[in-house]
Amino acid sequence: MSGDPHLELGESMPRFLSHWLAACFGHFLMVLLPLITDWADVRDATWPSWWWLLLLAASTSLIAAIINANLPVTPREMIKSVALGFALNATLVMLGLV
Amino acid sequence: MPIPTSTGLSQSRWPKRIGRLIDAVCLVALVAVVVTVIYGFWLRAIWAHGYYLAVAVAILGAFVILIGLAQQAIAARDVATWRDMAEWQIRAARAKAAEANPSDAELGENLEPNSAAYYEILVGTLVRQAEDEEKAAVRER
Repeated sequence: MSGDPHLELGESMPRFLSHWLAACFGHFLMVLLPLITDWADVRDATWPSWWWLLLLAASTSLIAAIINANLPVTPREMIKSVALGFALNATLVMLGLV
Repeated sequence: MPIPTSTGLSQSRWPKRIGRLIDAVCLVALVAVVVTVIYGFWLRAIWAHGYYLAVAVAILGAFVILIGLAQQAIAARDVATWRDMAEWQIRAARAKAAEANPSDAELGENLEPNSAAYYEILVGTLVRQAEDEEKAAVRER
């Protein structure tokens, strides 16, 4: 047991921001993966404007950031935020809200 | 003996090496996600001629994440170094205290390093050592 304060649970602003950014990247991944895997079919599809995409990612990722704000900033915890951001966007897509 | 307080994620039962391996794999996955997102935005920017700012924001975000991770790693290492130094000092102080007062030192050996009483005894030992040194210096003069 190292007792390392950087690995203990507890909310802080840097943690919130890091996990918020990671969740945004998860959100973007959900948006952009079809573009990379299915390049030919999707390139002509209608896309939201870039600022709408950024705003949506920022707002939905807030939920992920609030939930994960008490996790340390390690790659292992950031991946969880990425996954949550991805899942939130997938939920929106499946509900037909986006 | 006081119940050791929960210290969140630091109470791991897995070996440290596995934790480090998982961290490394997750870092690779995180970098892959970031690179994929930037690449995707770049592809989109080439077609739409309007996503360049999104590319810039994504690259900026990636930098902030990497700097945050690096800062945490550096801070954790500094804390570890500081703790090592302090523990070395404390061990020396405890050895000296054990010579002077054997019953007290045995108590400190049996405590959990995370409990509050552990630090109380350590601080007490350090203070006693400092006082002893001061008395010795006065006596010499």
